[in-house]
Amino acid sequence: MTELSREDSVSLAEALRRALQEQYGFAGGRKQDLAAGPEQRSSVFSLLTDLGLSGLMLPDAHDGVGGGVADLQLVQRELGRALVVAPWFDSVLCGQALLQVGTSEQRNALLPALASGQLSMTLALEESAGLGTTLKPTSARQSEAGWIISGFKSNVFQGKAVDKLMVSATVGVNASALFLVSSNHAGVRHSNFRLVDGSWTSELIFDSAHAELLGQSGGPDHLDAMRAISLLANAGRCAEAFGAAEAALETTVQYLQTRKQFGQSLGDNQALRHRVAEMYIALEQARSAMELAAEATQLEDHADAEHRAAQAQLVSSEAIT
Amino acid sequence: MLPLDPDFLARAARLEAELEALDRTQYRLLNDESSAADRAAGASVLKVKGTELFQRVMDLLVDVAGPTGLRLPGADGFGMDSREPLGVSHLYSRAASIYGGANEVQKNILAKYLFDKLS
Repeated sequence: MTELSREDSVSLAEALRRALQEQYGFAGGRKQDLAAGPEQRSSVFSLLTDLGLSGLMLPDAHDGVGGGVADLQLVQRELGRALVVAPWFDSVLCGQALLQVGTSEQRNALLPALASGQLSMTLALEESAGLGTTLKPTSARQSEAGWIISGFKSNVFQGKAVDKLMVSATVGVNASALFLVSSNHAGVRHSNFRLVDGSWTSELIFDSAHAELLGQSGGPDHLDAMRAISLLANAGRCAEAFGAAEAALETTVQYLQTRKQFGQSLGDNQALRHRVAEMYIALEQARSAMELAAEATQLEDHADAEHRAAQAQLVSSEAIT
Repeated sequence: MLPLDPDFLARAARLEAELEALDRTQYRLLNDESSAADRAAGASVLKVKGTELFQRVMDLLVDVAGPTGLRLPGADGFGMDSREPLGVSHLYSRAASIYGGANEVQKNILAKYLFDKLS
């Protein structure tokens, strides 16, 4: 993984912050985007594309800008600050999976479209069935007409709005692999739900849907790629969480100074001042968690990387809530 | 409480994660090219968070020691069991949040820093 120069990366983050402040606002643009139906991609996605962010982590050879995990975190932090809801991050993660395990035909066909923002993708990995349901995990088998997948996936972020899904499925007894499926394929049934934050998510049921195996058939198991994607996802999420918490602290301090009660600013009360100090201490822990999560993506040993990522997630999620 | 019970392991793992994060906070502060005010605020963060974690580590250890931690040291100090000093150490750890600038004072410093910076 390469990285942008520090200057490029910082000026990219500044441009993004400015654009989001002007065109999205703190929760304003989000409200508008969330009012749309599940099949509609958030309008902020094209803003991100216009800023050249779609190819952030793709190499030059595929029309990307060659950013690394530090650049991803800078962008995610800004997206967190503005509470952006868009399938940008999922598309980045799918791009990384394609880079790692896709065939050269698949990379050439899809990566430039991802880099230009024409194509949006999302990951379908999770399988958490509700109590009392009899949904089956997703599995793949080979037929004469190619690969066929059946089963279900849950909490697929903006699954109805994106063009393509990247789906994990078990193959045979022990292996599992990633497959590409068109979101509007006849064999894919979507049930759309809003998450607690108002964003759209899909529960997908694959009924003998045709799927394209990522990479070559009989090639290596995709477990390593999925592990790497999940570490990268964690690094991005920790940065997004940090950005949201940072903005919340700033807003809180401003409010405490503005709002007057019993003839004085709320911020004159020591009890509230101490809570602000505690928020800042937690924010510093969340900043460190963001560093730990980035570090985890660089560790060679799988067990070390997972341990570090788990520490980051634990500290981040507890510090910011 | 046995050292291998899940509750102990979860508490230990949580403390380890938070210490790892505090470690990064400390290095960030040492390497940072930020202003004197930012660094002073960082020192307060380390004092408060560091002593809170220290006290939580000692809470865990005194639970591990159980009744073995009840003794005061004799004329020859403590006995063979390495858990014996933990009770006394735990009591001493209670002072950490008031020595070296009470944590409440550190929070006043942090609040002033934030209100100045973010207004």
